Amino acid sequence: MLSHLFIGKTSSQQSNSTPSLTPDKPPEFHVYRQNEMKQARAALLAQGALCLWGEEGCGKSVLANAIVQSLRQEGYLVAHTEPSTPKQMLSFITEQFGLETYTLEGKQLSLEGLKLQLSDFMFHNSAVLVVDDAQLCKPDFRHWLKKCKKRGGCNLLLLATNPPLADIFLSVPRIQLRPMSEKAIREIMIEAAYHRGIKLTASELARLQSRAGGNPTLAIRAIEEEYLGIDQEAADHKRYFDITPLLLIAGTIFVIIRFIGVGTSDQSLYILGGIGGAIFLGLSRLIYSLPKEGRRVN
Amino acid sequence: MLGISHLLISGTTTALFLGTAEPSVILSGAIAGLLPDIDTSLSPAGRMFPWIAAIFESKQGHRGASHSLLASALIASTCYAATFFFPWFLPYASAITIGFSFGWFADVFTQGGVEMFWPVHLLCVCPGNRNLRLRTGSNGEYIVLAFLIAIALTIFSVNSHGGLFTQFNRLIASPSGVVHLYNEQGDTHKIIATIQGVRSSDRAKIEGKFLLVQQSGNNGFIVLSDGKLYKASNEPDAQILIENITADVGDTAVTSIESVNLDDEPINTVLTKFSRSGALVFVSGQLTSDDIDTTTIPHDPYQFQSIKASKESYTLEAAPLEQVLSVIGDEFGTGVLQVRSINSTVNTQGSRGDGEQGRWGAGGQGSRGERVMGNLVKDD
Repeated sequence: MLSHLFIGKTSSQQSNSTPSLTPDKPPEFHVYRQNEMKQARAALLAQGALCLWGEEGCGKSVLANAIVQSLRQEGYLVAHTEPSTPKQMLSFITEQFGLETYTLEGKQLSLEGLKLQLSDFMFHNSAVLVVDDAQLCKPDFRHWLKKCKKRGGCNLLLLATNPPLADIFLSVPRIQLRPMSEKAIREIMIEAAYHRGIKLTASELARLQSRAGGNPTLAIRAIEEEYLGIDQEAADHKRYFDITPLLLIAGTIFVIIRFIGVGTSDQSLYILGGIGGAIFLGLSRLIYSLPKEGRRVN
Repeated sequence: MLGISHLLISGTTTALFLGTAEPSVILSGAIAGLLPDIDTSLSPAGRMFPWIAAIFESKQGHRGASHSLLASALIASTCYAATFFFPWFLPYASAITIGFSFGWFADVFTQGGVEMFWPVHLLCVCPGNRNLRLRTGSNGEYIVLAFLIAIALTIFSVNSHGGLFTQFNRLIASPSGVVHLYNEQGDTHKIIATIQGVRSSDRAKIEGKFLLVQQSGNNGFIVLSDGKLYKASNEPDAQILIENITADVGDTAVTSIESVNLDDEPINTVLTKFSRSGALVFVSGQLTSDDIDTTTIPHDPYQFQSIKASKESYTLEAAPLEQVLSVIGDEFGTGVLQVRSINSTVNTQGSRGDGEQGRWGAGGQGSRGERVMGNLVKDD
């Protein structure tokens, strides 16, 4: 599904009067995060290390795939891995670089052996290592990455969801993958609708788009939910902002009114301001005692 | 949120903030509450202006730019700019601005939220927990709708009876509320005060309606009933000590103040011209007279003494004209007087003014003997 994230160039210039915006033929491949891709490629080709981070579902993996694909097409040696046990990851990287994972005696290389071999290889060659979901890697593996970077010659691209400010993430420059533009999200949704074979009007897309919040995964999920007939209004993105404290600040207006009542000897203003302030105080206690929303699906 | 909810919220807030019961103004605000949803062609506003809805729909999600502070500012500036050319449009400009703003603000309480700070893409919600927010067309929304109807009816009723402050002042029955109403309507209407209290001399219960003649002190009033004047306040020199006082706007009556200079002239001659049919006339000021030693000022301890005599001068405070003429009219006086006339406008067209004068009476102190003031609950 994520492979669809960057396939979305559609005929968005279709007439608004047409009831459905779903195209008749599959759109061309398109990378929306061109700037981030260029920055990442430049960093890697300059023998540097970079971390691309963002929220869950913001399109890191697809961007990683696109970068890996473009570098391989240009003839660079690229290893692309995802979190697993350190030994499995190191073996997988070793294989992608075309190195031996067995000793001359036919025994499988130990963890330390793999680490040593890989760090030597990356030091002497312009190989690129891409690690997706790097925040899920074991500390041992991340520590090895840090050592490789410190030694030099390590072309490293990390992709992480809200990484911790520790070890390799602390020492590598970071670029945040911000929420995508409304236009890009719209095109991704049109593409998703095409692949699902459903026809959506502009108003339906506009309604669904507010559930995406600039997150391509949520945009596709909104289309899936529409396809399945799941009626939903709230979304899971991080763009919600609770303005309850702002509303409670409005309660201070009543306190101000009360003081005006005192200053002008206006009994009704004084009493009204007092009543309003007391109601707001009570409401604020009530609102703050409401249960908070959990981070789990409920 | 349903269209009916938007209509009710915007109509109610328009009535509340503008303090109006004018149907066309409230309707303007209510309809303006539907305008933010012009960003979807499924809404009433979107169906009315499909080409505008199509532009919004092609560019952004629902509850975006049209549900923002920026949109409100745009609407407000457009409407208020129009008032430069069409001044009569001012209340409608305010209604549309308020109605539009609360139209989209109501969606803050829905599960989806609104991009209030557009072009910053933050979906503002309240409360933070989505499970506690309203879902469009849900039972929760209908319950809120029922509350809204009750609130709307209450506000419309309050506004049609003088507004929030007037009704609140009636509720707390404090002198400051009467002062408020007197300041607002006193120049064009009679203000009828309903007083509950006690007579200061013997603590007899007092309950009745009085015509408010003028304010005396911070929260005191000179009031008139059955031709008798009283000072109603909580000060020691008052005849009526107030426990509760409320006020209502009475018939239309224009109050005018005229100043008169007397230079050793007969008081009768100067003041008689102010004796107009249907008008309640009260005189205030200070006069010196040579005959002051020979004149006896009648004094009823239950009533306000509007004419006081010292060794050198008379001090008049809201003294009924007839009383002034009868007591000191024959004398020659020197000084400056202010003549307050409460003229019933209907008087010029008929005899109602006389009726009003007869009802409240300003005929002079003691002219009707020992009649009770207001409704004396416990007469002595």
